[in-house]
Amino acid sequence: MIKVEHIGKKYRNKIAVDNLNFTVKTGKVTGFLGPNGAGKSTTMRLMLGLDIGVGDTTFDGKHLREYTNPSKVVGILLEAKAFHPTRTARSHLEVLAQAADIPTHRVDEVLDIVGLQEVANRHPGKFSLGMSQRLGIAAAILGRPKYLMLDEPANGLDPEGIAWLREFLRAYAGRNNGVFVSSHLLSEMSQMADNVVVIGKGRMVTETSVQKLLAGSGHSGVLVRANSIAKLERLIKEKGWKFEKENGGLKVFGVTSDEVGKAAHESGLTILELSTQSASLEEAFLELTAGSEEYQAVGGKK
Amino acid sequence: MINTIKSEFRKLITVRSTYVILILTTLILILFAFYAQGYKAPSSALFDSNYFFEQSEQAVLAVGLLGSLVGVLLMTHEYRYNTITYTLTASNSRTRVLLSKVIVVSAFAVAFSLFVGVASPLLVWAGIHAKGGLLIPQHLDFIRLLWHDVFVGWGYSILAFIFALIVRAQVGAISTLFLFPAMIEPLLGLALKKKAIYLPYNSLQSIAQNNTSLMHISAGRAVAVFTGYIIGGLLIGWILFLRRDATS
Repeated sequence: MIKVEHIGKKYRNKIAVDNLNFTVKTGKVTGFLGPNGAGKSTTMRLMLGLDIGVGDTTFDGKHLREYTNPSKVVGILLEAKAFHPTRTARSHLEVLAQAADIPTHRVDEVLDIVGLQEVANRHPGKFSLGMSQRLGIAAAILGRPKYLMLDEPANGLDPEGIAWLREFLRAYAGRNNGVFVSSHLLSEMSQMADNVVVIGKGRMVTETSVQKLLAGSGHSGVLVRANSIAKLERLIKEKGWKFEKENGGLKVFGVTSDEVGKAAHESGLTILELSTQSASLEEAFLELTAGSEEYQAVGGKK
Repeated sequence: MINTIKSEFRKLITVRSTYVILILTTLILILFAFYAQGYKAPSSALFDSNYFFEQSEQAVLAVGLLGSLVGVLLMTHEYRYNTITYTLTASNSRTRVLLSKVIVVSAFAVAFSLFVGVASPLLVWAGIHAKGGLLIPQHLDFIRLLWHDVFVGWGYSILAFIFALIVRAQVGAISTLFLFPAMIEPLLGLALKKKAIYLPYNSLQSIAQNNTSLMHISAGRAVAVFTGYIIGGLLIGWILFLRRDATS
């Protein structure tokens, strides 16, 4: 487990990351969400000791510097284009393999995994963003690390690449590894992540499972349609439930479909539709981070 | 530690810039040693028994700055292309990373100065022979020549590396590397007058030049002065390397 305790970072007068505490569990994909400028990348750098700040991050109870070979503990992808443009993709990985005492044949293995074998001897300066991301993922998994920390790895990937990444990360976590991944592609994250850590303006917003986050969102509810909408509305008001009109029926919040169905039946209503509607991760995310965007388009403020 | 050193060495030999610098050095040597100092050597030079010795030292002084660019690029590429994130997370000690870089830059600098120090008199000899001239027997103090060439070549490289370690930005480090001996030291020299000889590049040049002029100090003293700058510079660079964020 990666345990993050009280980490923080201040740039002159601006607090970039403020007292964050969370865990990244093995066997799970943990998503890291936050609006632009929320401090996600800074947090990742702090966790790895790349940026100097306060707080503590331990990997299975030990600081990264206490491990003889940190590359076998955590693999990173913090920036897609983190390579020398005139060093071939293979040489780039060989340099990293050499530093981490990883046999050279592993370079070919990871090139195969990410599908870059054909361009291994090309200069990555001319790679597309998607190919660069794949090279970054190859670098991250080179040492077969127990943990992966990836910052926006899906950026620039085509739909096929995104689907591949999703399956790959889920499978990686499934082998009792921990995956910590930030992304602004919320629909992707909802399919990929088991847990999420949400931050806004450098502060903790929530740490929960995706399931709980969606269920607890104000956008989740029970959609019910009956033979008499007026009678149904009266019933829901009597019960004191919150609701809104939607798609020719009523969306009731804070109750289960069982409760709504039972109440309607007891009132003699004929139920035409009864379904649970989950909020999307995007709705839940926007609800949680409302007002914590660092940068906002003027048109967005009304 | 050995793996980190090997990795740093691999970085050095897998980028185009290292080879561009070596090719440029060879071309400059051919132009100046073979053509200017050999083929076009003044007739008085043919009767100078120290000609090879002087040419070897002058060559290291002339192209040392160019060779030192390799050390600058080894450090500044890390920040320019953000590979520093991989370098630092692959090791459990920043000090070890820095030490590995110093060792690799030093090893390259020694090999580079030996190449220049040996190639230069050979090219001079070839140039003189191509013209049909004949040089009188040469007096070569190999030990003295060896340590002068190696120390000056290493000095150029390690000083340049320190600039890169402190400045981090590629353009800034290269500008500092060229401006320091060309502009900053001469300006400081105006204020320091005779004591200007104790400035880093001046003291380094004193090692390679015969100390006949009043503006030179003995080679031993120059080594001591210059080593002081290197120790101080590395100490400052090391502290900054430990305390600064890896990315800015």
